[in-house]
Formats: sequence, C-alpha cells, structure tokens
Amino acid sequence: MSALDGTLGAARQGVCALLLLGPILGLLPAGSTACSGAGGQDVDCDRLEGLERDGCQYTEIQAAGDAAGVIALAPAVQDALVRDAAVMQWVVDHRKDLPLAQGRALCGLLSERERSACSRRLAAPHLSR
Amino acid sequence: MALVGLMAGCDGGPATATQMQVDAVLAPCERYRLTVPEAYGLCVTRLVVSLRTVAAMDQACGRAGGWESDCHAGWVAEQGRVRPDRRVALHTQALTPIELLEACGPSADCALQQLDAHPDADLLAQIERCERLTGPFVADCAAHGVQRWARGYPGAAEVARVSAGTAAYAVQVGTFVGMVVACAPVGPDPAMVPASCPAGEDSLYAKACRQGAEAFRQSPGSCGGALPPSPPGAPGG
Repeated sequence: MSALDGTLGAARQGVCALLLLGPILGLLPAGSTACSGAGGQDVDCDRLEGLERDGCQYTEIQAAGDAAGVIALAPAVQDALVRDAAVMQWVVDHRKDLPLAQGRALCGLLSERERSACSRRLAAPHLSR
Repeated sequence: MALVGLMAGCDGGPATATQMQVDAVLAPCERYRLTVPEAYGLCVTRLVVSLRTVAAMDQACGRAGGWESDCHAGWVAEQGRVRPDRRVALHTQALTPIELLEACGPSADCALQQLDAHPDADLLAQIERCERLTGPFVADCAAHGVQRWARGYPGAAEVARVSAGTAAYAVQVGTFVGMVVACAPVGPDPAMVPASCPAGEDSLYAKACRQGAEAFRQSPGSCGGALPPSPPGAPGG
C-alpha cells in the first residue's frame, strides 16, 4: 500500500469514527449515514437503526464469503425487501460456484415472490453459467 | 397526488399522465431510494406489475437500477398470468407475442423465454431473432430452436435449406439432423425424401451428424430429447 493510500485510509477511518461517534458525542444528528465501505467492516450495524441498519447489514451480506455466512446474517435484516434484495444479489454474484443444495437453502430465505426467480437462476443452465 | 405531479415535472417539462401514474405506483418505494438503493430497485420490480402499459413499465423499470432487466422480465411474465376476465375489468388487451418480446427490453433471459414460448415456425427466422434479441444466450436460444425443429423430423429438402443457412450452428444442427436420421419414423408422405448425413464429408456439420446419429441409435429412448451421453470410448464420447 502506498503512502497516499495509507493517508487516505487514515482519513477515512477518522471520518468514519466521527460519523459513528458523532451522534453519541452530540456532534452530529442521530441517523447520520453510516460509513459502510466494502463489507461494512468499519461500522457496527447494531449501532444504527431502521433502514440504515438494514442497509448496513445488506453490505455485510454482500461481503459474506459463503452461503453459511449469508444464512447467518440474513435473519437479522428486519425489512423483508432489503433482506430479499441482499440474498438475491449474493446469489446472482456467486451463482457460478454455488453448490445447488446451498443455493436452494439461500432461496429458502426469500419471500415467496422471489423464491421461484431465485430457483430459476440456479436451475436454468444458461443463467447459472 | 398533486405534489407528486409537481415533483414529477421538476426535471424540465410538465409531468405526463404516464409519469404521474408511475410516480404514484412507485411511491411506496421512495423510503428505500436513498437509504438502500438496491432494495429500491427490487421494490420497483415488485410494484411494476400493477402498471398496465408497456410505456409505463418502461418508465418505471428505467428507475430500477441494477434490477432493470428483472423488472422487465417480471412484468412480461405477469402478463401471461392475467386472467381474461381480469383484463376485461381493467379494460386492457392481451399483448401479442411480438409486443411481449419487445417489452422484454434489456432482459435477454426474458427474450429467450418468450422466443421459446412463441417460436417462429421457420427455424432460420427463429435463429435470426435469437441473434438479435438474446445477447449472451444466443447459443441456448438457437439450440432450443434446433431441437424443437428436429422433433418435427424434417425431410431432406428442409434439412438442406436449414443447414445452408446455419453455418454458425453447424454442430448443433448437425447433431440433431443425426437424431432425425436415427429416429425418424416412417412418415405418412412417401414422397418426402428422408434426411441423411452427408457422405464422404469432413465438415463440422457432417461429423456432428454422424456422431449424433450414432448416439441416438445407441439410445433410441432419447429420440426427440436431448443428445444422450455417449458411452465410454464411443465417438464423441
């Protein structure tokens, strides 16, 4: 990592810390947009509320390394639509390497409306390539 | 509704009736648009099915971001599920297969499904549509068409016509002409010359035809279906 990357990284850490601690310290209004960078590792989603928390958890799900991780994280997403969007996007992104049994387990997490679309993505040869 | 109408016109012109209708239908999705935009796209995809025209659907799906293709596909699929009596109540007419195909927009999978559901009787025309509309799925679309065509057990003249126009699909066409050669029943038309594989040729088409014929002869239960797996050591296996 270059010196510039290090400087920028530190600056980002500082901004993220401010956004996280700001409401607590009274420096910023509550509900400030979270720093959900890649994987949202910088922010504890549980410190957020409502859709902001769900959005943070959406990012965490996208960073999950395997289906088991998604299955563990998905139930914590309160909003069903956000949960569906998160699981579907992960399935789409990982469909080529996703064993069918695990894919079916993920599709089972979805609302009824999305399950058939999810199953089709896994089963149709041209969609699972 | 008035506020929605005013806001819809903020991008420069008066809001059209379609735009206002779309804004109204998608209003429940607004809570996601800035906080979780990916969920906004899925929300649009879900609510778009209540829009009744292609123009309105186009507008709405244009707002769905990464879900735009699914949005088009979902709306088109829904048109096939609307009961005739519901159409009467809504004062809408069923879309023609061509209109449904056009409504697929950017969704290549939607186009593939529609072309499979309403194939052109002429395989060459079908393949032309596959090439024009199914993007990354053109090989699948063409293969579905070839298999469907072969199940009709075409005669030598039709095989010659199609094989002359499908050089890019020589292996698929050849394989299923092989199926025709191996599996065609004795037809009701004694004047129809049966299909045959080219003799003494080494082209991709000719090889595929011979291999296909052999595979289907060894597995006659597969006639009309997909190419059976070749036994170990067999040609093409």
